[in-house]
Amino acid sequence: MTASESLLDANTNENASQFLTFVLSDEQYGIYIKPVREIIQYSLLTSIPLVSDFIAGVINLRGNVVPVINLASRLNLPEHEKTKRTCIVILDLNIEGNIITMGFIVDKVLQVVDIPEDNLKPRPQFGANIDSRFIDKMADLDEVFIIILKVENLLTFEDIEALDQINAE
Amino acid sequence: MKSEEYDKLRENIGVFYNEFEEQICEAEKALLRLEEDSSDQETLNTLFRAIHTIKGSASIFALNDIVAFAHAFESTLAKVRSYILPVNDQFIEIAIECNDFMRQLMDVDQNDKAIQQEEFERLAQTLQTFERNHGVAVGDKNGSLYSKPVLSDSCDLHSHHLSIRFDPLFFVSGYSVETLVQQIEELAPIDKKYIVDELPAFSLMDPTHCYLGIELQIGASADIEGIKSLFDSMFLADPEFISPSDTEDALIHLYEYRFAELSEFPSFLQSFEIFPLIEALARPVSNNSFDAKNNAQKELTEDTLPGVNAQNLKKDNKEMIRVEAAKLDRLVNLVGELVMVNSRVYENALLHADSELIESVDEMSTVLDSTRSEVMELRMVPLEESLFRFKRLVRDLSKKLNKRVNLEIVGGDTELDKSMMEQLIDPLTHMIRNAIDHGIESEEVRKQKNKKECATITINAYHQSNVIVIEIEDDGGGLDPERILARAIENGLVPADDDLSENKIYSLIFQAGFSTAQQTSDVSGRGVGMDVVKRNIEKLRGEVHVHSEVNKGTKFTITLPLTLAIIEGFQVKVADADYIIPLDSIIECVGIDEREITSIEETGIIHSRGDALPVCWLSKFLNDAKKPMSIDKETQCRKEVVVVSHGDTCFGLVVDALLGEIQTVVKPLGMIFNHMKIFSGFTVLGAGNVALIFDITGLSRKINSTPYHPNLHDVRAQSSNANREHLP
Repeated sequence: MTASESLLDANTNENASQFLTFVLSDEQYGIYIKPVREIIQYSLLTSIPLVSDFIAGVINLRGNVVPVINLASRLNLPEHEKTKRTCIVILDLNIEGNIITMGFIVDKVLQVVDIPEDNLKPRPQFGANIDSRFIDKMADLDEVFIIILKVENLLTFEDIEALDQINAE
Repeated sequence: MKSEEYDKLRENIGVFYNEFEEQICEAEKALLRLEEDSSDQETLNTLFRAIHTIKGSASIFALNDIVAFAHAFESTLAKVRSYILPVNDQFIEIAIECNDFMRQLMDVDQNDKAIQQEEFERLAQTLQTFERNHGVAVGDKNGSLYSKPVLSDSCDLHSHHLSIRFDPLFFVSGYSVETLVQQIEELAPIDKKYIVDELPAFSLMDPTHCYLGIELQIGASADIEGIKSLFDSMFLADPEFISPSDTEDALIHLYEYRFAELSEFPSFLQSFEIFPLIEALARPVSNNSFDAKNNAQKELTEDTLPGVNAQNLKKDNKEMIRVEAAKLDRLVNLVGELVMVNSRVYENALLHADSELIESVDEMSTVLDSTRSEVMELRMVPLEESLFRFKRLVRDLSKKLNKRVNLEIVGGDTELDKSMMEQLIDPLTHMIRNAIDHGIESEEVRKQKNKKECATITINAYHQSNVIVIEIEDDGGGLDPERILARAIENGLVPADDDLSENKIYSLIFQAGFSTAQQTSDVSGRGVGMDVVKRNIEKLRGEVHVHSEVNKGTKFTITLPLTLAIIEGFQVKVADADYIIPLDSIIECVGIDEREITSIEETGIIHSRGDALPVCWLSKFLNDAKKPMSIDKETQCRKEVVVVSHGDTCFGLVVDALLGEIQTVVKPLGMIFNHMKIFSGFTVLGAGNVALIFDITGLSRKINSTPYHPNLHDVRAQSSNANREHLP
């Protein structure tokens, strides 16, 4: 596997142990650090008409137009007011072989943490407050369990196709 | 070849693949030119070089099938080049087939190996049969072409080689070949010795002349300087030395010089190890060996050697660099950004009222402007490169349909954006197919009509102000307006009693589900043609028109913008968001009172110069159900309508504010938004925010497909706070 591939495909790398944690709707979540390209402060988005609710809009990231997902709405969580600490996390996602740069909105970015392999547990069958297909693992962070999100599933081709359906109607 | 090995190699094969494609195209072009003018030696050389280059690079990647086939093909070509085989229709036919097959060999994945093997054998056989039919004994030394030696590109001689030719007057002047050989042998051991005779026809032979030549292989330890000095005073002998340290070029030179005129390769040469290389580099030289010397040298200076990239030299010595298209795109993007940033800096400079700063920013803007136009140029390619493939198409189709058609390309050097060119190929292919299949009459009919038996299709390309025009004209039967109308009525495209102008009737052929061909063939006539052509061209923000005269021919005119990367747009505001409407589709802007609109939800009708103009209320149309809208009738009764045209129809777009003309860089929608047919791209505005660019074609389709709900209007009237969520 080449370096860039491993960068984009965090979940296949079993040795990955660095995570970015953030707050969304008063809960802590984490994602593998590898696909994260940068974190920028929330600024006004250009909203796109006639698309699903969870697409918040697009931003101009140094000349590139990058779609931004409203993570709260994607995970079916209550949306909070935008504050000074609201951030957009920019990721390079490998979606079925295509590399897509996209961002998602979080209420507050916390830290980059090392989590040992032993503290990572498989996702629970039920009981979590979000759809299990968005959960990759559970991480034990100082006796507190946080959800590690499966970022690849935030935007899948089924969703894009579903959007297509909406548009075709 | 083992499949793992193959996979490993494939990773690095991209570079080769590009070159391969290029060479195959080059060879194809050459073949088509040869078909027109079989005596064109230079074209034959180009063809030979292309195949030779393919063989060379394929051997680096150990693509043995290609190497073996290219070798077989090349051997035949070599003989054609030396006038041993003729350039006739049969040759062209076989050669085109061979060329196509090489392309197939490259697409290993798509082909069944066994079928490929069969095809390989068949074509190799065809080549041999062709050679045999023209009196060339085929030396099938090892039984199969597969076992032919694969060339090594390095010259690995283990000994010196000395090749001597004598002037016809050698004997008469008192010299003796035997003495010379003895003198050489005194200085060095001769490993192998061969006598070459170059006897003329008996009637031309002069008994006193010397027609001999000798080829000597001398041990590596030989005193070459000493041998060379032997010839210092012997002007009537012409020696050529090749030492183990010499490069391939020396071998090629020797070959050009000595053996090219031979019809068959003397068997002795095989033992000299240089044989396979020499054989591969066959090229024609004149019959007299002393003339040949001059010729060969002349050719060597004028032309480059086979295997060297000679075609670039032909193009006025232009130096070319191959660059990945994506890199260019990034550069175009960055320069576009630079222009944006620059305008922001300029605004700031104005704000500070610093005259020196303003001046330098001004200067920067000038430089940036020219940088941008230069960068845009980078993406431009001459049309000719892509249009050439149509020569092949025309050739194949005319053979298939038994019509004689000639394709003429005028203005092939007109430059067009590369990505646009790629998207034009399909529609153009379709139009040419149509022209040959339906437009051009059979030879007999043409004779009856007193027309030239060989029909002509002309592709004429030129720049006109800021658009590119491409005309495709045939001198066939033309469109029959009555038949088109009848067909359109039959298909329910127009009402039977409609009175249409001739041009309107012609444009019916662009409608979906229209095909007048009496019989559908596999060439064209499935009725999905012209509407797709039109749509593809509109996607490029272009237009297509048709003009036709019965019995004279049909002319399609395509107009295209110069580039896809930049758009002249008109910026408007709709519900606090910025949108761009392509300027070329805008007819006018009018202000209206909102109450003038007989509204049915998103669309309505307004009166414009006595006509009823359908309008789309963009703020309602674009607004999702998720965001409830409130319209304050008192304050917002003034509305702006942008009237746009799409094809023959006009419609208005109701917007909140007009912000003016803008020239912007178009950015693709990307995978996530690509399905949105009503937009063609994004653009980044001067302030750094993003705006969407409307695709008027898509927008018009979308508006038309929006279902009509007669009850919506009533519901709306009941609640001024209309919200689609409340609707059935």
